[in-house]
Amino acid sequence: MLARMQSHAVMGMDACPVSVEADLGRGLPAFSIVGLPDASVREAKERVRAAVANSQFEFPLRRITVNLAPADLRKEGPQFDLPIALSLLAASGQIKSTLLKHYAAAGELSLDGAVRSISGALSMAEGARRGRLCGLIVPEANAKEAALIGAVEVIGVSSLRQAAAFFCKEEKIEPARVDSAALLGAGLGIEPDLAEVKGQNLARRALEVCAAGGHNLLMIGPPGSGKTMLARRLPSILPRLDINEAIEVTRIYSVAGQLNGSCLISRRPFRSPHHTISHVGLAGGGASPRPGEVSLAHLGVLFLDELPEFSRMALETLRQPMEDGQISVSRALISVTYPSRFMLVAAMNPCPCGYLGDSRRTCSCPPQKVASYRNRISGPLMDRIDVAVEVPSLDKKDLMSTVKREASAPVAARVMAARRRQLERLNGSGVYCNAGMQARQTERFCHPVDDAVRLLESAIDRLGLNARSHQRVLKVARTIADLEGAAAIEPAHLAEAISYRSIDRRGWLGVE
Amino acid sequence: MNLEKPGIKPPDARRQRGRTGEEIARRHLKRRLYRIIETNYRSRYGEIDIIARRGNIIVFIEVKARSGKLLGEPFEAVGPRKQLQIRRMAAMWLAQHQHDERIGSCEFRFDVISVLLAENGGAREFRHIKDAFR
Repeated sequence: MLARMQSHAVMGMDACPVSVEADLGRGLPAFSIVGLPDASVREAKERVRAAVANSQFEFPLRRITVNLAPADLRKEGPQFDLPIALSLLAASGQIKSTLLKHYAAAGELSLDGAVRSISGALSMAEGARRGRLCGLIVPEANAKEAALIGAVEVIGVSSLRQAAAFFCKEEKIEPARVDSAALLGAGLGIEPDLAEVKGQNLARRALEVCAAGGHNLLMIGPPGSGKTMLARRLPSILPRLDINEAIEVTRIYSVAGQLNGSCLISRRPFRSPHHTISHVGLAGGGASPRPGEVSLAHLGVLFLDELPEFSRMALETLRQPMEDGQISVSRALISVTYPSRFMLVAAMNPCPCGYLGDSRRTCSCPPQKVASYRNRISGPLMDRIDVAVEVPSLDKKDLMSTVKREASAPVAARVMAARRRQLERLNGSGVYCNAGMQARQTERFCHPVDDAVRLLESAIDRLGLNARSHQRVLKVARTIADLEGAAAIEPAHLAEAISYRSIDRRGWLGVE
Repeated sequence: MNLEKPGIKPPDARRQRGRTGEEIARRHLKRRLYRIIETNYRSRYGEIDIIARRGNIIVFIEVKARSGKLLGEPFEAVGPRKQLQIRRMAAMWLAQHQHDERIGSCEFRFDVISVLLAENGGAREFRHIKDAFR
């Protein structure tokens, strides 16, 4: 007596089909699971046994062999409980159904037969669609998330009994449906708003430019000047996620098991890991890899406060994902790739004590300490930051001012318009914003007018711009022109872009 | 304090206690319509106290008799090692009977019967744990 059903193992972002076979043989009663199961899958034995017995089914007095094929793929996680239990019931004749082989199932069983939520349900639905299956049985808590894929019938079940009843056609369960447009609109206007930020007009402008072009941003200023506050308001001026982007982000959170009950991540993620984070926590990894912060910030903002305090290893880890928009994690058993197209926003103090250059307090740091503090950020990392801006501490006038400040909404509208211009220009090249342009595209699209060319030449001399920072200045200038709706790069645009580099010249970063 | 010492009793007394327990277990099984196939099936690896059959199921039964609970419940004495021993014995018994067609279509089960003996030779407590291990 043999029964078989489909399930999936999540590898990176994708679900690989796994066939779950249960065979009841003659001989002394025994229960073994083969097919490279890890500890959590082997423990399924005890959960399945209790869940079957507690769901008013009989646990067969047979020599039970469960095989998870293909045998060379490592299976992990508790999501195999449900397909194992169902195929066991089918093999022992307690479920009589021809439907079984057309469905995939995934779910963790609790001892009383209830089905608990799992991670990666969205990827599994995608896997079921690719495998041309009729549908997918998932825990009720994951049904909506899996239904985002459409094209596959998603059946949410709350207990083993209910799943069995579905296959026996004793109970009809409506496939889960989601109104993705409504979900996408949910949670509007509860983000922190730019209107709450006092003063800091320079930094506000830099934030707008970065949002418009997708540029990475570094803010330098003393403690309490509002760096964190500004960064937290960046998502409110970025264009909203469209449905495909939202599903892409949701999928990462689903795989990481961080959806926490919501079924669609409708807003751009804002991740601010503490500076004690390990490079594995940042990049993703572990013996069985999980997405790290760079992937959880995909299509959103990765905010690194106190940048020099991060470990050297963690900072260097950022280079590949910033360059490629994805990160490959290789371990002894498996190698996976996670997407990681994020905007980096970093904040740092000008010196270890924090008050260098402050008008009201004096800095107590010896110069060599300041230099070594800044040297912790390597040149290659600095090379990838397009805009650096100073955020000075606020003076009395700004603090007490009651002037109405510009809110996020109008800024977001300008950013959106600028992004639309970029999309039209970069149409179909696989690049979505100015920051992502390759050298060839920069050459083609970033033409300064003649006056601006002369300005650029003098800047190259004065600031000692190298080839890469020259390119970066042009890209930022292009974004500033886009914000204004200008076709060509005017001297004013270029001047502003150069001002975001002046921090290099003063020896603020890296070598004096 | 006058605790009863669970010390070593003469071998004869222990063997006698075991037999009493098995006798009580057999009477119980017969009342429940089990047909006893074999008792004290043994080899140099160990022993199965009772092999019985009811309907389609053949049951291998380990009987544990105790006179006091100082060492814990009687059935607690059937640990992983004892279980493995009984499984091995059961496999051996099956090998010997593999040509018996009546047994070929059967299912198998391991039970533990736990008896707490009274002074008069009866049972103070009796427990039949079905499907005790697999």
